Amino acid sequence: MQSADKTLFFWINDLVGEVSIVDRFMRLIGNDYFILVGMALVVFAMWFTGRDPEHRERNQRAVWYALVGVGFACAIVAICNAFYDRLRPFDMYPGDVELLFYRPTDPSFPSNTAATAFAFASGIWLGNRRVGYFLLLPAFLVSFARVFIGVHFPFDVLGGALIGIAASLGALLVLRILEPFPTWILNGMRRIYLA
Amino acid sequence: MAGITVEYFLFVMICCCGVLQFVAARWKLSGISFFKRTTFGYLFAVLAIGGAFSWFFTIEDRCVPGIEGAEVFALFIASSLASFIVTASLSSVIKRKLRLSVKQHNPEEEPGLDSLRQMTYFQAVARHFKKKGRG
Repeated sequence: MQSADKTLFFWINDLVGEVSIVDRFMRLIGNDYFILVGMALVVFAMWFTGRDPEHRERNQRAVWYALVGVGFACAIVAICNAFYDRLRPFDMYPGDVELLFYRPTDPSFPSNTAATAFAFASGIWLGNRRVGYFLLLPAFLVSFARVFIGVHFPFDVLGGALIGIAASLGALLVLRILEPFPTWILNGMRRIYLA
Repeated sequence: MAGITVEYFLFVMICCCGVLQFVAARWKLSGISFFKRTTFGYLFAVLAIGGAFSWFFTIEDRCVPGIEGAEVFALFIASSLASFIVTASLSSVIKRKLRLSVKQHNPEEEPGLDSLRQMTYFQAVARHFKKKGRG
């Protein structure tokens, strides 16, 4: 498992330096803000989107799943980090990794960025399939970029992605159990013209 | 550290203002739109989002240690709320003449974002409190 992870990592990371514009693109999309802010803006737009009140409510529930899912995903990643400290690729193979990024100090597994991106995408997918599928593209892109720039192993982002998806499903379950509270909050926000 | 926090807050706020103008144009929410014509709304959205991204990612290298995960999340929520307050206030001032259509508005209609198709945010809130006072 570890050896497959290493092989796949170096297969991707060895592409660094081949085409400089690709390196710069990966540095841009692999950083902590670019893709995640872009995805969060789509989620923000979803809150106001809908041809009628029913359609909008479905989208707003999807936003709930995504936001609560991101919260759950971050909590699960923090718990994993407390129990399992996997070294970053540049620490595990010093001198062999082409690093295009700063040296994060937290554990490599699981990828927090991948967990957040997939929690956003799958949370929205639960309420709006079309936008959910659309958000999967940046989620995959940022996950690939994190390996490319040398800060994660492929299994770190795979673990992060699975955590993100599970967290959104957990959010759906929890919000359904908590009914009618989420509906009351939505109705309250509607009364002050925020939903 | 304070520098990146302020820059990130402004970056998200400007982007969210752009997103709000986009959804206002797309879903005919005239009450939160700055413009009469939807084309200007779309144009504003493209300029605000494109401009904010270009500004944020060119003024400094963002591949350096910055804001922590939970802080990023909290800042995003705060700046998106700030953008809604700015948009609602500005559009309410710009579109105060929308008051004319308030009279045509069905008072029995359910509250919610759909009300902002016919009146500004401040008008909607004022109407809500008037109704409460009467009821």
